[in-house]
Amino acid sequence: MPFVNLPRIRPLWLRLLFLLALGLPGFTGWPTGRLTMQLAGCTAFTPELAHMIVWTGYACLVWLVVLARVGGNRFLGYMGAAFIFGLTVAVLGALMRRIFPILAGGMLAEAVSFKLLRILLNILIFLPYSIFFINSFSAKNLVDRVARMRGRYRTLGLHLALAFRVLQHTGEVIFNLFDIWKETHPDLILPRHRKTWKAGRRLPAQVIRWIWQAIHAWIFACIVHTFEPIPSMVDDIEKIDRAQTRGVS
Amino acid sequence: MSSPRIHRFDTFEQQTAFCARATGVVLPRMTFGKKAFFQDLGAWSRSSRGGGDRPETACIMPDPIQGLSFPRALDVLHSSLSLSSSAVRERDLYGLMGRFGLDPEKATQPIVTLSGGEVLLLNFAKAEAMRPVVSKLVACSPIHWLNRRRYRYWNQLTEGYGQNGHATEVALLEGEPYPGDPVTVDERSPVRLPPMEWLLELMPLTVVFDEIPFPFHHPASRLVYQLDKGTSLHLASPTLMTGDNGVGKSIFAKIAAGVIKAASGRLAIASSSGAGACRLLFQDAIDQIFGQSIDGHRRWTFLFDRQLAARAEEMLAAVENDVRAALNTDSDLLHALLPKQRRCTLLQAKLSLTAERLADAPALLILDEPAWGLSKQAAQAFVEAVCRRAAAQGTAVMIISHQQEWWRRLARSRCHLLKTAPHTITIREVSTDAVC
Repeated sequence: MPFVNLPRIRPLWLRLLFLLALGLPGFTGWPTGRLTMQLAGCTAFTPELAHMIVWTGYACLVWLVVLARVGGNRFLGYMGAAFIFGLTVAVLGALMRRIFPILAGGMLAEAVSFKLLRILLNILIFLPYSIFFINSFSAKNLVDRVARMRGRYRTLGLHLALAFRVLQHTGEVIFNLFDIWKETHPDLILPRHRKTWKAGRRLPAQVIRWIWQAIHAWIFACIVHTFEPIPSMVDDIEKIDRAQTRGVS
Repeated sequence: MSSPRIHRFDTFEQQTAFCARATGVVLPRMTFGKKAFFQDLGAWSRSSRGGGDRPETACIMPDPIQGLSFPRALDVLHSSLSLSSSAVRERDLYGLMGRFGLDPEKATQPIVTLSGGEVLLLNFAKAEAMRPVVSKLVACSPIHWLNRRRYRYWNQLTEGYGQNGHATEVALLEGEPYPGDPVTVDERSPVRLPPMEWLLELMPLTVVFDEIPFPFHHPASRLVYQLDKGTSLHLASPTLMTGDNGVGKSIFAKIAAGVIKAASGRLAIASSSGAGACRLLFQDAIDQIFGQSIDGHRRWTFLFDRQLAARAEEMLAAVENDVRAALNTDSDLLHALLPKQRRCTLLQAKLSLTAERLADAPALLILDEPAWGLSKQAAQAFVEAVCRRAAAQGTAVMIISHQQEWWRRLARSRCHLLKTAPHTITIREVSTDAVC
């Protein structure tokens, strides 16, 4: 199957095409939207159930492609991250809509639940897909190719190549941060030091505060550690750029 | 042939500022909090405009991993070699790695998982690859993480630059060793510490690193740790852990701290403060601040335990006072310790992270290369203060370091890690003075 050794698919545009085709339902809603309508029209399924069946089927396809290429351990890592992120968004979304009903915009409770479920499923599909997509291309090869280009799109191309490398670097940073997090909080989802959590009625508020603080810490740690080497990356890319401008022997 | 020009600095912050001036690569400060970080990044983006008239420079950053822009050694070296040649062959890449003491299997290993010494050696190989197109080499603490017998790789690099007539500027911290410096033996009497023993129990321990099939293939590997004799070691604290670059010291520390899980075997630690828990100050401790300010990180860690928060504050104040007293003889070194209202230096980050860990009263505290980014005097004052406080509460301390001489007055025992078979690491207790 072509996806078994995706980085070896040449030329590059064919690999890009394959990945874009895989993500097509996410970009355009086709053909999943059409399938959902057909399924809802010709069976006893409600439109919501038909939607979930079609999108779950699509999710299985994406997961299969990712699993076949990245291997079981890494796939579990991607899915773990997607579940944590997806559940956090869904649970916080539900809580916020309960506390501030105006956010639901007059939607029925069932409609809100369905919307949150859709968000969860989308995250479970597109987070692993995005990481897979980004890592399917070599930033170094991209920089080399763009640096060899001539014309007005060269500078823009170099900026995009840098942005692409920074995105890739986020994945590397997360694995490093995870080690640090594990040393600090070995239970992973609970703080290491939580003696005051025995306080009874205040517990839910403290748990929410902890989750909020943890999300905040992770977001900023990822941003800070991802951005930290940018000056050095820019310096390296500028060197490649100048070497190609001078002409390499 | 020009010889390297050595600059010495009292603090990591001064060394980093020098590196930025010399290379134009201004890395944002990591220990000053989010606001300062983004201000620095903004200032860099406003001032950075294509390098200007600055001569092309190869650079080894204060945190050497920051100079490696691509995810694998092969990519880094390929991009550096292709600055001067359009036809880079695979054997050139492996040849370059071999010349700087890097095993071929490191070529595809993700850089973030390389040991500190291997990262430095890869920086050397990168600088060598860039030699035809640069006119200067700027290196910060280029041998701090290296085993003494690997200094030759640095000498080899600088000789090459010298022969080409390129300038080499080396930024060292005060007291940091440099190849060719006379070895000075610290004749002062040993640091006085209460006697303390701890127990390391180790049934052959296997760690498995799975195959990485994506995005680039890297084969699976495994390491087995075993003791030289028997299954337990009674060690006097503080214990110094030594071993060659890439032998697996930091991996051992991470296993002990529960960060890496062993596939089989058993590792147990016991000291007078109890059994089990082990805390770790990472080699690149700066990352452990988790993108926060120093005080902000400490407050966040103890958000739900006021008692421990107070204990950590007391501990921090105590070690900070000890270090301040020890550094008082040299006002320049005191720049590493700003007033407590604005703690933001690397030394203060390390002090705070260590106080957080000591407040937890673990059985063992491991300090992985605690001297990185510190002058000799500051590093000794810091580790001595930590050992003193740790001993008072029954916590054993293990120091992982390549600077054996720095801890001569402090270490009461020493473990040496040795590769005795391709995947087997043997831990041996040796005399604190032994040369391994």
